[in-house]
Parts: sequence; structure tokens; C-alpha cells
Amino acid sequence: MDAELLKHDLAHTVAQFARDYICQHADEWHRTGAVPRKVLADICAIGLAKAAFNPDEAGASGWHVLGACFEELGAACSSVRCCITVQSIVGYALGRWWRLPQAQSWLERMANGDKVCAFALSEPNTGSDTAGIETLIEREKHGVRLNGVKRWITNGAIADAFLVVAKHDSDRDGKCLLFVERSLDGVSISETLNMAGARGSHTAEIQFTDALISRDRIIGANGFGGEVVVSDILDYGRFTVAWGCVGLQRACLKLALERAAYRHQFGRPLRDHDLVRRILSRMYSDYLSSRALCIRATESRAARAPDAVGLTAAAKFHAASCAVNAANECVHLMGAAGSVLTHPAQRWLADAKVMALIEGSREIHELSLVDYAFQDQNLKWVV
Amino acid sequence: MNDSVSMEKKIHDFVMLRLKLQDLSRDTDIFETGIVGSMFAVQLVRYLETQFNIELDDEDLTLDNFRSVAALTSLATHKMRLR
Repeated sequence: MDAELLKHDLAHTVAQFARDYICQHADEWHRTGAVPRKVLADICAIGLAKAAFNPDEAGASGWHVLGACFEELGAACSSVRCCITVQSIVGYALGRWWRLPQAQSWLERMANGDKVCAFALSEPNTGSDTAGIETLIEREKHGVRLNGVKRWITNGAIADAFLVVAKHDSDRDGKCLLFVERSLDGVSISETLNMAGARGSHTAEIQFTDALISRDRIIGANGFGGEVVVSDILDYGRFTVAWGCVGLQRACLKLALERAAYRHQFGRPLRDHDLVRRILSRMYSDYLSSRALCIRATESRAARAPDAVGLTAAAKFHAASCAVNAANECVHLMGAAGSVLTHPAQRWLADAKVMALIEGSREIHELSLVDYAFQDQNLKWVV
Repeated sequence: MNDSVSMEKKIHDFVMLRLKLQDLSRDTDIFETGIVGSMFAVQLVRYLETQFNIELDDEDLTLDNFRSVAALTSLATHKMRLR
């Protein structure tokens, strides 16, 4: 985190909590497969959730402080970062696009951590190809009837409510979102998933069987609106994952440097071996470039610039790829010690693989980043 | 140049500069071109809101409001009147 940002109360408090508490327990939560709900509530209540629900409210500094917070969470524990990301993007979407009085009451309870929410997009048969979702709504007298299965849902096992992406049975092209409380009839957690990475994020499968949802709980009801809101949510999610991956790389790099300085082989420290120096140099340049891209995306978001969407996608793509590499090299440099299942480098490697899949897989970004290159006004292009 | 003409020109330039279309009339359906999707709509939301100092709501997010330069201009004009 930048020294300047540490002066900000929220960034400072999150950094301290991440370093003094989350870091100490991250391996345990990875092993048990669950970050305690109380810890998530505490992080929300520090003020991070409220700040994340409406980053523009705090002016330009809001986005920079948020980036710093997600970097610190990512350095400490990706499972925690994932849970807080989801709480943040759902809170943002409710505040931005669900402008009803009940949204305000939910946002207050989410801000202090009393309520945890999940974003339910992925399905057993649908990952990147979100057009293929099979969760359907049928119109009823006072609302809609919801049927379908959502899988790989972060926070799913502990969520009090879900922001569910579904399709109209009559209009197979458009999506809409529904705010569905867990206590509703027809909503059940069908499985808590034993993930390899982001193990503590309460990833679950949720079943919706004839759940009746009132009309005022539908966002983006006309199909096109649903598509836009889903994209808006994913764009925000990418911002948090990108910064989390900068933190993850930082954790890997710190341990790798320490190892290289103190571990001796063939009569000298690892840092004096040319091939090790190459590994560390590449890790460092990856870390710096990821950080620079995240800062550029953050500045653009703070300015509410349309280019922020492409810059954020590029930052996520690059930072996640570099995080996989950093964790992989960290395991490598730790040798046999890093190959023990309980070693932090193993957690980082498993977490980093998840980061490269979520919020747009590597291939999704490889297919779409070129669109933003065409848009880039710094690349002069004459029609 | 009156307000709505200059507004339409701004929106036209924004879309043109970014999409680099060979031909963009005020009624060209930009979503039918196949080169943009809902992420471009997110960019349009951000552009309209910052450029014209308006705030879009859930019910404004319709294809009819977003499909062309003419539609975007009339959406922005409408929202500015409500401001």
C-alpha cells in the first residue's frame, strides 16, 4: 500500500487488521474451508462495506482507498477477499440499480455485517457463456416464479440473500436479476463445495424450486437492463480481484525474496544464483506492472471515465496471470518445504488459479481486450 | 448549433471514435453490428452520466434507449430535463 494511502483511516485500519489478524489465521481457514462469519462481519463493520457500496461518494480518493483495502485483503487471504468482493458488488448493485426503500434497509444491515449476500450467476452448465443460463422465471400474478440451480456461488453457504441472474421463459435472450432472501420457500443450499482454492469462501450450490418473488425485487426486468447490470457488477468485481492479485503477488514475492536471501545452496545464498535471480526479477517486474495497471484503472474509475471498463479488465487479466506465476515460482523456490500441503505457498497457488478463472477467465479477456485497444484514443487510428 | 444537435454530435463522436465503424448514421443499431455487447453499454452509461451530468436508473436501461446515437441523444435530453 502507498504510504500516502495509509494515512487514510479506512485503508490504515484494514491494513492493520489484515496484517495482525487475517494473516495469522488464513492457513487455518484454508484448512477448515471456512472464514468465520464474524470475521467477515468485522471487516464490513470497519467501514469497508459502506465505502465499497458507493465508492464515488467519497470523491476521487474513494476508489484509491478501496483498491488499497482489496490489495491488503488479497495479500492476507484470498478467501476473505472473495467474500468481501461479493458483499461489495451486491451492495453496489442494490444501491445503484434497486432504488426502493427496502434496498436501503438491506444496505444498512450489509454495511455493518449483520447480513451477508451472494451473487448467483454461474450454473452447473454455465460459466463464461452467461447467455446459456438455464435458471428461469415465469410470470405470476404478483411477481415471478423462479426455478434453477446456481453453482460455485461465493458466500453461498452463509448468505442471507442472493442476487440471482435469471432468464424470462418467454424471452430467451434477456437476463434480469432478482433479490431473493434465503428464508423464502423454495430456496435451499444443496451442497457446500470442497474447493481447492479460495477454500474459505463458503462456495455452494443453491437450488431454487418454485420460489415466488414479488415484482419489486426484480432489477433490469426488460432483459437488456439485466445484461447491463450484470456487466456493471462484473466490471466492479474485476477491480477488486485485480487489486487482490497485486496483494497476492506481494505476499509471494516477499516470501521468495526472504528465501533467496537466507537459503544457501552450493555454498552461497540462492540470490547469488543467476537462474534464481531471473525468477525473482520477473516476479518483481510482474508485480510492478500489475500494480501500475491497477493504479491506472483506479484513476480512470475515480474519474468515472468510460475507459475504466477496459483498463479494469486489462488489470484483472494481467494481475491474475502474474499471480498464478508468482505463486507457482514461490512454491518452486521453497522446494520441498513449499510442497507440503499446509505451506502458505500452496494456498497462494490454489487461490491464484481461482483468480485466473473468476471475473472473466483468461480466454474471455484474450477474446475481448482487443475491443478496448480499438477504442484506445492514445492509439491513433484513422478511419 | 442548438443543444440537442451538439449533444447528438458529441454522442456520435464518442461512439464513432470508439467503435471505428465504417458508417455510423444517427439510426444505426450499434448492438446489431455485433461488435459491441453489454460492456459497451456500461461504458455508455458512464459516458452519458459524466458528460451530461445525469443519473440513469434501472428503468432507463432498455435497448430502445441505447440502440443508436439518436436514441441515446433522446435519452440524455429527457434525463437532463428531469434534472
